Amino acid sequence: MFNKPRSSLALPVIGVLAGLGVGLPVLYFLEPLVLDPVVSPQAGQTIEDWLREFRQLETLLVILSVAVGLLWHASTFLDAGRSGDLRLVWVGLGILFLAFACWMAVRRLPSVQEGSSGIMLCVAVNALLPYYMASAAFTVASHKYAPWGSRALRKLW
Amino acid sequence: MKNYAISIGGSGARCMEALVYLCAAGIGPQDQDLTLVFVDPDTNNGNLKATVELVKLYEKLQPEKQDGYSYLGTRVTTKEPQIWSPFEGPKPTLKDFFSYETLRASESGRDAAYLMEVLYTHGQREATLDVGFRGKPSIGAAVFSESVNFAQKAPWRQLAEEIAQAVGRGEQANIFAVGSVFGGTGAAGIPTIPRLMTGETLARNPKIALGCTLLLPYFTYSVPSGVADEVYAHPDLFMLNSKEALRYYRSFEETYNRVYVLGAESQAGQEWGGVGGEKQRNLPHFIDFLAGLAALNFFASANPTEHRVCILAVDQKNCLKWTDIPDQDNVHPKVAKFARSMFFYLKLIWPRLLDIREGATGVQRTPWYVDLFEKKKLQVSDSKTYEFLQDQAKFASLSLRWLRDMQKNQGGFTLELVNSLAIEDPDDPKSGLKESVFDKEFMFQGAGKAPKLSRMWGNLCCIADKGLPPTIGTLRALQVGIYESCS
Repeated sequence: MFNKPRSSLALPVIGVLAGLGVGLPVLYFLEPLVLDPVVSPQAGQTIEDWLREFRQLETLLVILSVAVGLLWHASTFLDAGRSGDLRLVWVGLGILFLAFACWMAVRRLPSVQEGSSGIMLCVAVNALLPYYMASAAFTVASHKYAPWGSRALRKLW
Repeated sequence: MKNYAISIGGSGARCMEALVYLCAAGIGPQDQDLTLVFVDPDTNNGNLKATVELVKLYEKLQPEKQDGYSYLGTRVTTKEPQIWSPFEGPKPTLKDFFSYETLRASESGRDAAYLMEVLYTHGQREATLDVGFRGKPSIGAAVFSESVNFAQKAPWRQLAEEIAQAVGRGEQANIFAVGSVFGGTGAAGIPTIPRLMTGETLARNPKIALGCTLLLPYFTYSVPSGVADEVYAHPDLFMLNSKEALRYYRSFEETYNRVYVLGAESQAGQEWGGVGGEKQRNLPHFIDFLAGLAALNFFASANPTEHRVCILAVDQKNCLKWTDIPDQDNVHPKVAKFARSMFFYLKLIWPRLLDIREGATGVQRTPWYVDLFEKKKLQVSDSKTYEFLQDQAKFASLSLRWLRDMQKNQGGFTLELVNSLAIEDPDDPKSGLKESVFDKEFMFQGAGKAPKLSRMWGNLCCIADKGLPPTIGTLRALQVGIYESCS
């Protein structure tokens, strides 16, 4: 069942670190700069309070996104890659998690008067970027070209 | 170091076949040349033709320059003509070859004609030699003595020149002959050809080592009643022929520096393949394999000043395991790796390449294909590339077939070399190559430590990614990648 070289075991760990290493700084430093001017919270809530709640939820989503990346790694370790590279699985995991992240955002984030599209854009980034970073460049060799753009990305390291 | 292997007769050709596979497995002399010469008056002999085809395939697949990787690590070459026959043009009878009628008619030649009558029966004199010497070394010895000419005839002249040049440069030349002593061609050629070599152009030189394998009886067959009157190799006489041949060879014991003697007490039954010609295609036997190893042992340690006879025994009577194989610590892992890589290629790599060629969806992203082909601008559909890959598939199929047939051709022996259940039909990878058997116990010894097929796929993807030096040729990279994936 486990049919990968031992050195491949390091890849998911590096992937997790890469996912968190990119996802969290984007969430904490870049997104407030984007959302602050476009989001208008409901009456009685300041933008700072809204951003705090946004960060709380999205931190959880970033961590879950990386966990989905780990799920991807697990599937590549269990599959030999002989009959295909599981691209559908990779795409499917991404779409499912994106849908889940949007649903969570709609349910859990305080409603706003303006800036919904900007918020959803940031939610999508927080859902997909850590997953992409955790998987695209660090997938085991037998499935390494399944993630879109991985060929170009792998040239970087 | 220059190495030459001369196969004499059909059994010699089968040993050469084993030698070629051993060289492919990386057991042959690394980064050295090995020149193969085939001697047989029966140029249509089935075993001989198959071996010559195999050598052609090897020559096509081997890298242009040695690169330190053991798969196809010995540079194998041949000389023209690839098969040397003492007869040029139509095959004569012995009577015609020595102009018996002319001798008999002339006053001066009559004694020679009478001598021929004493030495050869009427049937032997009249038998056409298009199928070899029909198990009669007395015919072959006379013909070889007359026709091997180191001063003029190809390939002997080129061979003599090359050896003389090598020796002149201070290199050692190792010449190894192999043939059966119980048939006609081998028994005649083994003492005759080297004697002519050392006695004529190549005067005995301290830089030239001569070795040979004498094959004692190790197979037999039943002769159909319809051919009872023909002149052919009688299996009943194999033992007697061998005894007489060995007695005769004692007078040449100084000719060879090392003599390997191989035979099997319990002989494997073969189908009757006719007196000679294409139908004579006996199955490979473990004695051929051991003869190939003998040649390699000689090339690795030949000493022009020694005179030795090497024999081999097994631990258990009529049972051969890897532990009985000389230098098994080196031979078994390499043969196992070779066999596994050939299985891997046929079972997974070749079908995937065919899918890619046919444009099946998704398969273009196969990681090793992207790294070894796409990135290097190589297309499976390119005719030269496709031909190479097809040749590799053919070579893999022949290798596995050879291993399977050798395992099955046990005679009265119990063999534990390769699990032939894994290789039912190499030409039908889907159902004829059994992955479950391969993964469990393919090459017996140390089977548990060998990687499974799926793991090998993963290994290849890793090796193709970063594991090969950029200087290696594109298709060679695939060969080496596959081979190294089996470790």
